[in-house]
Formats: sequence, C-alpha cells, structure tokens
Amino acid sequence: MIPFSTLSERHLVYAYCAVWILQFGYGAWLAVQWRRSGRNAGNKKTTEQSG
Amino acid sequence: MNSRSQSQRFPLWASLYLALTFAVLAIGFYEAMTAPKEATMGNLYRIFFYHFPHTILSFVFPYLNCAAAFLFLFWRRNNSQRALKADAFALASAELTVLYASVGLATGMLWGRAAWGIWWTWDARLTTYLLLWLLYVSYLLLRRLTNGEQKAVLSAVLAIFAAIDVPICFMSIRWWRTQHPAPVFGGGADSGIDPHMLPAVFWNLAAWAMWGAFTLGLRYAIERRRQREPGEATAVVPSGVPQPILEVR
Repeated sequence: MIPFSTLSERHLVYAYCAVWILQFGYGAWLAVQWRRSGRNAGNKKTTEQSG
Repeated sequence: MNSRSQSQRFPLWASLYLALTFAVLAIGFYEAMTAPKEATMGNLYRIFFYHFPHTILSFVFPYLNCAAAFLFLFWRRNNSQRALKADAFALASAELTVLYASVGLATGMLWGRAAWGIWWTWDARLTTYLLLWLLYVSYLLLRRLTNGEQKAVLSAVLAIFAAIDVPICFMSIRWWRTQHPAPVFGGGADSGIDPHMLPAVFWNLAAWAMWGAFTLGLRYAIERRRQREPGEATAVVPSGVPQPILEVR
C-alpha cells in the first residue's frame, strides 16, 4: 500500500510519477518517431530499388 | 526480411542495452525506497534520489550541445557530412537538456512545497536553473521557427552562449548561500550524506545516465534519418558548398 495521507507522502509519489511520465513519455515519443522514420527510409529504399 | 521492417527495429545491441538500463533503473528505485529514513525530513528526502541525477545530468547535456555546436561551426564550410552529424547531435543533446532540467525543476518544486511550504522562490540556484531551462527551450523554439541554412548557424551560436549559464548555475549554491540547500557532495566539511544512502544515489545516477545515453543516441539516429530525406540536408549546411543529398551517411 502506497502511503498517501500527508502532503509529504503525496508529493513523494507525485515526484516519482512525474519523472516516469516525462522520461518514458519522451521515450515512447522517440520510439514512434523511430518507427515513422524507418517506414520513410523503407519506402525510399523500395522506391529506389523499383526505379 | 525486407528493408522496411529492418529499418524500423532497434539493433540487437541497443535492445540489450535498453534491457540493462531498465534493470539498473529497477535497482535504483529499490535502493531509493529501502534507504534509511532521513532524521528531519522522513521519507520526503527520497525525492533527492531522482532530483540529484537529473539535475547533474542536465548540466552535462548542455556541454555536449555546446561541443557539437562548436564542431558544426568548424565543419560547416569544409566538411558538410560531419557538420550535419554535429547539428543532429546538438539537437538531440538540447532536447535532453530540456527534458532533464524539466524533471529537475518539477521534482525540486514538489520537494520545496512540502519542505519549505512554497513552490518557488527567486533564489540564486532556482533562478539560474530556470534561466538554463528557458535558454534551451528557446534553442528548440529557434530551430522549429526558422528555416534554411540560418537555422543551424543561429542555433549553434545560441548553444555556445547558453552553455555559459551552466557553470554559473552549478556554482550558485557555493557562491551565494540562499534558500536552496547547500551542496551534498563537494560542499565542504559539513556536506555529505549517510553512507547507507550512497548506493541509492549512485545506482540512480548510473540508471538515469544510461537512460539519457540511450535516448540521446536514439534521438540522434532519428535526426540523421530525417536529414536523409530529400531537401533536408541542403537546408542545414551553407548553400555555397556542394551538398549531394544522396551522400548523407
């Protein structure tokens, strides 16, 4: 059970959650960008090969 | 396997590195939660285990950004391929600076509200740190709002000026004793923490440094791919220098 009754306890939980949301949110955004850029690169290679 | 699915996947070594990073992050979290309770602040001080690595690393990424900016300016007229790489690295390190400084600000404010009763005060460290964050946000905005060869040159110049704030911010808690707590490490005879708390500090520092290195490399790779798209390379390096886009590697 996560202690959440006092202001200090709540802020401790908020701080850790804020870090995970910001860091892993950015990581997820990068993963999406990586896939998109890979799709573009794959399309470009396919076009070059067929051309 | 076709080239499209290959280019969307992470290389095996990157996947292994990411798995190792998550393992170190998990150890860091465990150490942070099981470290002894602090005498005056109780459990609230555990914010420090995430605040400290992010703040320290937000002082490292600007120097990478500054070094990349210098290299871009050095290479832009005589080696366009290297200049493009330096520009991509500068962008990646500036984004990481904003991210880590945002975490440093957020965790610091959450600690300050519970420990001091206030979210913010205009003391030397907080003010110079906010200035650092604003400088790198403005760097990213400049890159987004400008186009052509001016974009990379202007942002490289801004990066060099912005890095001047880093040593001022780092030393602010040594030069001026205001609201922010005194330095925990290297702050003189009264500084330091209980040795039982050190594993939590160093595991979390290692974990967030590893995560930072991974995201930095990934962001750099994405930007390099974007530079290979038609019409992108000539927008970064001077138009007077021959820039065959297909030769971007």
